[in-house]
Amino acid sequence: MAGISVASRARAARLRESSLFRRFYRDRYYLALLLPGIAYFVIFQYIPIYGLQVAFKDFSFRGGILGSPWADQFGMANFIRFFSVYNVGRLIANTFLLNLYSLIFAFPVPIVLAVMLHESPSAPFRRSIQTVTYLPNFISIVAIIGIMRMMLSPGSGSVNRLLGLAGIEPIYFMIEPGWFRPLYVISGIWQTAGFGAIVYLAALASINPELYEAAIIDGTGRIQRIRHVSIPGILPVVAILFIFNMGNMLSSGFEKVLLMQHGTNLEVSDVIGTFIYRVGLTTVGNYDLATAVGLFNTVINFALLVTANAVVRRIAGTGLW
Amino acid sequence: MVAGTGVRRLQAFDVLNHLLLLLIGVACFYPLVHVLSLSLSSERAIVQGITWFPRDIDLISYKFMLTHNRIIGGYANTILYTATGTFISVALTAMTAYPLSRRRLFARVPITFMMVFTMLFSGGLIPTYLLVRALGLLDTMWALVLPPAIAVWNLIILRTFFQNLPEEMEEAARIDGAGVLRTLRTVIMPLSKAALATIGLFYAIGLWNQYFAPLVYLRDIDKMPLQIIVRDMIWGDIMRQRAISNRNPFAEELTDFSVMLQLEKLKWTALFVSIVPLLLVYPFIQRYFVRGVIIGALK
Repeated sequence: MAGISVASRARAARLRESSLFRRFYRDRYYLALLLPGIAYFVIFQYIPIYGLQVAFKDFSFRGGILGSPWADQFGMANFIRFFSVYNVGRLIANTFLLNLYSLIFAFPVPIVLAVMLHESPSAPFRRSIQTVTYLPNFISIVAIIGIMRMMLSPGSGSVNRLLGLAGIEPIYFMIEPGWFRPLYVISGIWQTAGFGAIVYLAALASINPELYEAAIIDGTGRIQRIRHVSIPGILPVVAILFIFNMGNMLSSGFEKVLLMQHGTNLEVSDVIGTFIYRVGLTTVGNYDLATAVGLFNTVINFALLVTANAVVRRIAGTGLW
Repeated sequence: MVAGTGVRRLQAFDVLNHLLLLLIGVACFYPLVHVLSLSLSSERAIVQGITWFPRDIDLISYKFMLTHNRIIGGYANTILYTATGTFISVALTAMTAYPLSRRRLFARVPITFMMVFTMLFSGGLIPTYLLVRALGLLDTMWALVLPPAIAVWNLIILRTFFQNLPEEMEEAARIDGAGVLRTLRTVIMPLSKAALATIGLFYAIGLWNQYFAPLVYLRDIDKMPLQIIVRDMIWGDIMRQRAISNRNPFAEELTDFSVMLQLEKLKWTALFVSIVPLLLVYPFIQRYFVRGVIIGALK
């Protein structure tokens, strides 16, 4: 008897709970607390997304976002102008190659570093190396490129001084286009490899130690254990970070590119991000054209992310969603 | 016999591994040592070449930094922007993360999705610029501080942390009649000092290092933060400096070799001066970063 009444009361309570308004009312103070956060996202994230329609308009400040007339050619005039007038192929290739080289040369470094650290039996040694390798991640990009400029300066930089001792003529590292991509990738490795290793180290630490013990009993060496226990153990994490990287194939790093850009290396350093900045904010303010290029870029990145996620999902069985 | 060779191979592996790691560690901080040593050495020693340690120490460039208005002003601006921005960001992130940490919150999933979606798709540079301009924030501190106020990554870190707090304390506060905001302030936040410190540091470093936002949003030279000033010094943006002050030594013609060397020394000093606050606090704060990344990664 008592059991039934408790159950039915519980069901009634659940029914009441499930009513949308009840739940809203119950949580009203929490939702009120959430309002500033929601306002932030609406104002500073969603209004700019709404503002992307400028890409399809003939924008003027008098008209504003809403009042400006739609662009010609069914609103596509800005896109058409971008693809017909500017050196689009170069922009896309430069952006893509910069990211591709980073993916090939920089992406594996934190993984290798984490495995090497994981193999060290001395905790104090590990910790001190980690502390030192994280540091560059927090140094401003201005300081990093500044240090690079100074160290590589042809007149007084220490690198060219060393080359001079070896009888090599000074190299204009920051000016010669051939050096732009290597320097971009190398400074990226210097800055992010240590901090990037944290995630992999956490993944390595969570591998079941019995797996290592079993491998030792099987008589495997260190390298074999790395190959057959450590690497498979962190593969899901590698996959997820790989997807994130894929999603950024046509973006990222543009502040750094801007700092490394020089009139003489434009043929390799002119990327989509710097183009948007130059066209939209430094010259006469071609806001509509720059927005169109930005939208084009965002859509491609989004598509790349979704594709990479689907591919990795199929191969490795894990993904972002 | 077999076991013996195994042991020797192990040792060789360890020696090599540790040597390589040591080398990597040195490579990570060598550039910073180099900057410091060059900024401290005399001009003559710089010409002869400095590798590790400073020689013939000469603090004139540091004296110059301490008396130069743009450097001092840049420092003051950066401190103001970083302090204001960090306060706003931490408060806003905590207020947002707390309700979202309640598993049965009304509309929790769509609200979270709305926020996380902006990680994947955003308006980008120009629409954000147009918004900041329309809001009348151009050439104010708010243009630097408000648009990046909530980082979704930090929001996730904090929400996850709140979710794992024991519920009893919160219950106790509610029974005592404390409201939601009060519970957050007096119960949840004191329990979450480590997590708040972590996200606060992430925000603070991001704000301290900001260079593109001030480049785009600020016009007034007197409002420029340290990063812009350091950039102008290193890149030798002479036109701009001339506009600021006729007596600015950076703006002088670089005909004289000794002037060039002085300038070189000043540049090294400016670089070091911009990094030194981080170097001073880094040993005390670095463990928070690691914790933050790990909480975030566990999701």
